[in-house]
Amino acid sequence: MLVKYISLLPECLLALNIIVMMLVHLFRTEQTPKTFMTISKFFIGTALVSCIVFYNLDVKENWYINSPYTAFFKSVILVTALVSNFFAGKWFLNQNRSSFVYYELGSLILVSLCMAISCTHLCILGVALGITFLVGMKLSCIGDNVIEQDTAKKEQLIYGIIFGVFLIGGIAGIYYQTHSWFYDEIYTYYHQQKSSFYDNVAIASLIVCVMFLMGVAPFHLWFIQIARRAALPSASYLNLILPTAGIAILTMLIYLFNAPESIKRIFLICGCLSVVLGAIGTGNRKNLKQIFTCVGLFYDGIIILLFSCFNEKIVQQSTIYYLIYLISILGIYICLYGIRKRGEYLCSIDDISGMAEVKPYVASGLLIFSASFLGIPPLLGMLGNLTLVNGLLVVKQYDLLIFIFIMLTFLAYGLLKLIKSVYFDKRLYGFDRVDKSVYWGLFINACFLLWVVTDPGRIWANVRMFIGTLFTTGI
Amino acid sequence: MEITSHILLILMLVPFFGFLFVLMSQEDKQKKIYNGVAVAEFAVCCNILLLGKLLTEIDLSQNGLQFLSSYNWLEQPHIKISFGIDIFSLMIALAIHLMLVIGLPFAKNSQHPKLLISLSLLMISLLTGFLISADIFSFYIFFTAMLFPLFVLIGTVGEIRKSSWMFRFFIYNFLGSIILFLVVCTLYQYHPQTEGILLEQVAKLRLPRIYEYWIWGGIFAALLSRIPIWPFHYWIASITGAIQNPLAFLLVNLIPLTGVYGLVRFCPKTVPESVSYMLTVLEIIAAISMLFIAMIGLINKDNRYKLFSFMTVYYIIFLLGALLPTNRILLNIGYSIFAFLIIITVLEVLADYIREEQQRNNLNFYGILCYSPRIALLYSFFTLAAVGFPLSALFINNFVILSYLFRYNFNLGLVIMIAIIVSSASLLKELYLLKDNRYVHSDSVCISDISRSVFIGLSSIGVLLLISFFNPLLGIGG
Amino acid sequence: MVINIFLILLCLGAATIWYQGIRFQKFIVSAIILLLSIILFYFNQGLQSGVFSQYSYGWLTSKYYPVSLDFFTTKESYHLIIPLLFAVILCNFFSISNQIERQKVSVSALSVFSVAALIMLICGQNTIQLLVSVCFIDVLGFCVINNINARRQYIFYNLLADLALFMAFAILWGNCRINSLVNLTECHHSYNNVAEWLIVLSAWIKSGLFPFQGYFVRTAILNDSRQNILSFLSTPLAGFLLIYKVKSLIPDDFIGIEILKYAAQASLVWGIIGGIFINRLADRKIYMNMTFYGLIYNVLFYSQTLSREIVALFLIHIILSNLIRATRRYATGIFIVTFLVVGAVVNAALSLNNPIVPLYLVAVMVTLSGCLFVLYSSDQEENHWINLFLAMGISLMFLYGIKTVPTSFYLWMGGYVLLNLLQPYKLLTKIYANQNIQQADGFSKIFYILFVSPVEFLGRILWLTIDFLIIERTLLSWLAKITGILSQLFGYLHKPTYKNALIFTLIGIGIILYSSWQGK
Repeated sequence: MLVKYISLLPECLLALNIIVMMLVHLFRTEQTPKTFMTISKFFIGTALVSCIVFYNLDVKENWYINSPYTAFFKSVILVTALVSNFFAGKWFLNQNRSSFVYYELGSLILVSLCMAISCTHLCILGVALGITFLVGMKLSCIGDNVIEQDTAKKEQLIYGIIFGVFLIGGIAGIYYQTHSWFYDEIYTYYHQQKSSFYDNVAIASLIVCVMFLMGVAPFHLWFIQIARRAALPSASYLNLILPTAGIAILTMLIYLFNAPESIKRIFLICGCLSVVLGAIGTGNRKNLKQIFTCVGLFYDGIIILLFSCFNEKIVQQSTIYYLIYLISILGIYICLYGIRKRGEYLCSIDDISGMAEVKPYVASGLLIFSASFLGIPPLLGMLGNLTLVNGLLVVKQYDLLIFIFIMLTFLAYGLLKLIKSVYFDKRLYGFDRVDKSVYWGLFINACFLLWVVTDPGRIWANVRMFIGTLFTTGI
Repeated sequence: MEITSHILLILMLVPFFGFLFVLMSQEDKQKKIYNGVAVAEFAVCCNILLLGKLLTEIDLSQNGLQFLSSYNWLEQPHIKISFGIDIFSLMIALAIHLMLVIGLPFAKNSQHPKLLISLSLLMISLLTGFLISADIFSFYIFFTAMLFPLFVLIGTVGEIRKSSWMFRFFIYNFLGSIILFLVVCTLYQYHPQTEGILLEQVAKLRLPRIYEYWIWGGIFAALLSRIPIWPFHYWIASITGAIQNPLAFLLVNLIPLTGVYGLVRFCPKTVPESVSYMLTVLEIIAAISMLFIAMIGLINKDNRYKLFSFMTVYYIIFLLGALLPTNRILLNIGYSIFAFLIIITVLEVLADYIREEQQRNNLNFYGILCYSPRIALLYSFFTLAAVGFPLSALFINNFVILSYLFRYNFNLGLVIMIAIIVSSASLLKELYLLKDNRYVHSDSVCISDISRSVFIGLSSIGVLLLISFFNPLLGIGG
Repeated sequence: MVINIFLILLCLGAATIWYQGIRFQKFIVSAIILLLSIILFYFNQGLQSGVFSQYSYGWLTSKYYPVSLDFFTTKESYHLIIPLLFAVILCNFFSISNQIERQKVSVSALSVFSVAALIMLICGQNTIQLLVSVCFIDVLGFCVINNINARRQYIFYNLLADLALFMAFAILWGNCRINSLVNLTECHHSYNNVAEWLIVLSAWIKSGLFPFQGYFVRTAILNDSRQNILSFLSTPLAGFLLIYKVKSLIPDDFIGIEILKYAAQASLVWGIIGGIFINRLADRKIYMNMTFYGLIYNVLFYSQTLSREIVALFLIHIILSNLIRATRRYATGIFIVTFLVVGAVVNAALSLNNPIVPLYLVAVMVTLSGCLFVLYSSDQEENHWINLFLAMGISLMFLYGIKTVPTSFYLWMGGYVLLNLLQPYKLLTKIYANQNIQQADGFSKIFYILFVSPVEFLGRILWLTIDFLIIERTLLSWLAKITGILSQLFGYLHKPTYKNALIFTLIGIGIILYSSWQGK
């Protein structure tokens, strides 16, 4: 009996992680930031292993699914969380702050997202998404001062209301049309008949919730604002985890609703808007976290644009494209963890002027990953662009292709400003010693990058196989 | 396995490893980097030896690329990275390496010697890769990969004050790269080949009319974005005039060479008839650009701009020669470029030395060479070689190229000659000003002459050029 | 034979050009003269013995453009090379006594190299060899000149000439694929005319014929040794030899040749004017040399060959031009004696029935007279000029022969009286004192205004309008403004205000409703 539910092990472990950390926080007198980092490392690591080992063991319940598709995305999220948590631990150590709230909330987000990816029940999805959003807003408040906390509360309220309206409206609307909470029945409903206006509105509301979580335009404002306000660990965590999970959930939902034309149109408009705003925002912002949030907005916009031509191949291409972006943005955040002055982590573009003079490796990291974003060969971004172009050429979306690459030049302008500041501007002051873990992180990232670039075929084939199971085994 | 089957890969990787080594080397308190210079010179000399070996083994009677080696990269689309070399690319590669050998000793005095040397090595590695690319994908990789190192180079070492110029430089070239990338992907999408698409096969592919326009228009646009063709010359003109370092100046001015080389490789002799009118338009624009830039070079007082305008005129000559419907002058273009690059390198390092001495001693520019016989001799020799006197392989090979151009289109040839006259006059005017002793008094401060070792080194380069004049085909037949 | 001479000269030049020491200069130059004399003797022996050979070196072996360097020992080459060897011996001889020249050995070596290059030009049987040798001569001339202003003009004029020649041969090669001089007569192409004009222009500029005498006259600033090389062993002679070599290619009725003839005649006249009105001796020497080239061009176009008399005149001219700086004590005597010798030669040359020859003689006499005037005028004996004019008249009678004495005598006496009345030396004194006339280089200024200034003006206009106005101030600033506006708009829309949150939410709702309506 238990064997049947063994595929739920990752979620259980993550839930256990929350409980254990709570208990440690309550009862253990000697607590350091490393304590919670170690605990979460253990549990997330184990969850990851179990996810990989039991990747194709399905629980065969109508509210939960475990397939190679879900296992793949959950693994990616867990790996990202591991890396992010590791560096976050260093941050808390350096700042001499308690890391309990961060790890606790982070684990809660992980549980919610894993459930959201694997669930096949609308209510569970709704609850998971809701928890994710609320916890994410809370997570962003770590490190705020009193004034900012007041502002944060107001923002949370407003955006919470907006999100809640879309979420509840979407789920309620779908239930109202299909009279079912379960995915298989909803799937049957939408594959047998054409969607009406109210169907479209309901589906769109739910889809928009997921896009809201990902920070896709026009629902990206909260994402950009918390990127400015939130501490580095929170900003990086949200920027890395939420969009990844969002893509998995979005793919599932589009497949579920039979990719109606209305949704494709939404994707087209929102994708274009995201790409434009992301490209321009990269050049406009001065805060490093906001800059890379805008870069994320740009890439999320491209993914959304790809989804507007939804088919199996496109989904595979877009996933590969996103993974490539993820590796690069992970590298960027590792670099940001290495930039400090008198114990403070620097977040403004003006603060890092002339950094290359004293921190050449961190500066090189920023340079390499920025170049990767632009698709400069022989870096990973070139592979991403290759998959993107191939995908769009197959579906003959030439105008989208031209549009994306024109906006890429705007993005280039923004990233060039960053490079200019790091390499060409005069250094204003000194920087603290960079933690060795940052160098190791960059080194491992670079090695991985090199491996993927030199032999991409093998990895691509595996990724395609995992993603393809969504379409072969279904929901 | 014969060593020659991977020799091209080694040729590309040696400077790359040199780059990594120099990047990780330590500077002393005075920011001197003697180890780095030694490593760089060692790497470049190794490559020159390898190129020499290739020179002895290459078969001149065989057309097309030799020493081909392929590496499977991607399955979907099926992309194979292929390398190959012929005498044309070999000559250019040799010239580029010699450029670095000449320019490196002058890099020690830069404000950022480590960055300069490491990036120069990286650029050499990428340029070598570009020259040995045999398939369109690897061509694109190296075509684009050199942008970022160059951007960092001109921003740090070049000491450009206006960041807008640097951004413009990057974005303009980046647009060209994007176009090429889209063309390459389109080709792979619609003509999947099991062995990859070699450069020489592009012209032979059968494409629908609309694709022909797109593919060839894209290729021309991408490659022309590298060449300072009016009215898109401004990006490189503004950068070139502002760069403060000679090695950076030379590396930036290799960018147009990549465009010319690309056009040679894509063999527009067999370009489809439907797009052949593009060549005519291109020739007209190129001729206008030559005249335009030559004239501006004449009135511009900056020595670097004069050199840039001179280089542009010659690049466009080589471009027009490459566009002729014949293969016969390809070797001549290669040899001309070889001599041309070396001449320009020496002129630039000498001019930079003069500029530095002038600034250090706070001297007037006029007559600055009056009491420096060694520099005066070298500068005169290389200026005369540059303007076309029979002191290098440039003379006879340019004669052959121009003969063909006259045969093909007399009016075009006429315009080219006018541009050559104007740009040569510009360089000679510069020489005259440097040696005009009307403003020099016996008690004036003079610049210190170059050291004997430097003089001997540069003189031996002059001797090499003279040898290339007497034996323009370097004794390997023709 | 010729190839041996060529190589010996190259070695001799290469061996001596490095010597920079101050001592033994005269000794080494004397040794060079001795060696050259031996070479001359040896070469002459070859002519006497009838040693003829054909040596060809395959320089470029390409199947598309084969080029060889030819050194054919023929009667013609003997007749052209022997005077050259004489000339270089004379030039080096005069160099020994030149106190101003410090680098006698280097200059001597350059003269030897120049002769070698001229031999290469004389023996050339193809256009490439002609072109290469002409360019080498230019480079050597550049090395000989040690004054920057003279160098500047020299190199600019000769660069133009060389590029014109380059272009001419490139057109011929490109259209006909022939570079052999013999076969080029078979080349018939619509652009042949252009090539012919360019060859004529090249020779015209190189020889410093009117109105391109600017660079030639500027060499007056050099000392005598260097002037000799430039006047007799360098580009002016190269220009003449070029026309001599390619004259078979150019049709007889080609208008360019007619114009060149007139230019040569104008050079003669200009030489006379310069000989009268220019004060400095060195300048007069150059004007006199200019008249010589005016003479030989005309002789070539009238008779198509160079007679021995003209060759002898060449050598005597070298001697004469070097005597200009002779001291007062011997000057008059030397001039008159030499003039008589010249007269004898010219009398023989008059059998060619060339009216230019007397004009040349007038030019020489005027120059020499003027030189004597300059030499003696400080004694305030202005009448010397007039007396010398009288002497000239007597010599002219000698030239034209006794039978024509009455007419010319009366003309001459009339002229003598007129001169005494007009006293032109006073006018001349004023002219000599006027620096504007003495230093005027009107033709260079005209060329600068006609050709260089428009190019510079056009370049400035183009830079201002296109680079600056259109590209920098218009296109690029628009792009920058648009980017700036978009960036500001983004910044404004993304301020953390409730209004912006509302705007974006409404946009989102609008997208949902619109898409849903369209998709139903």
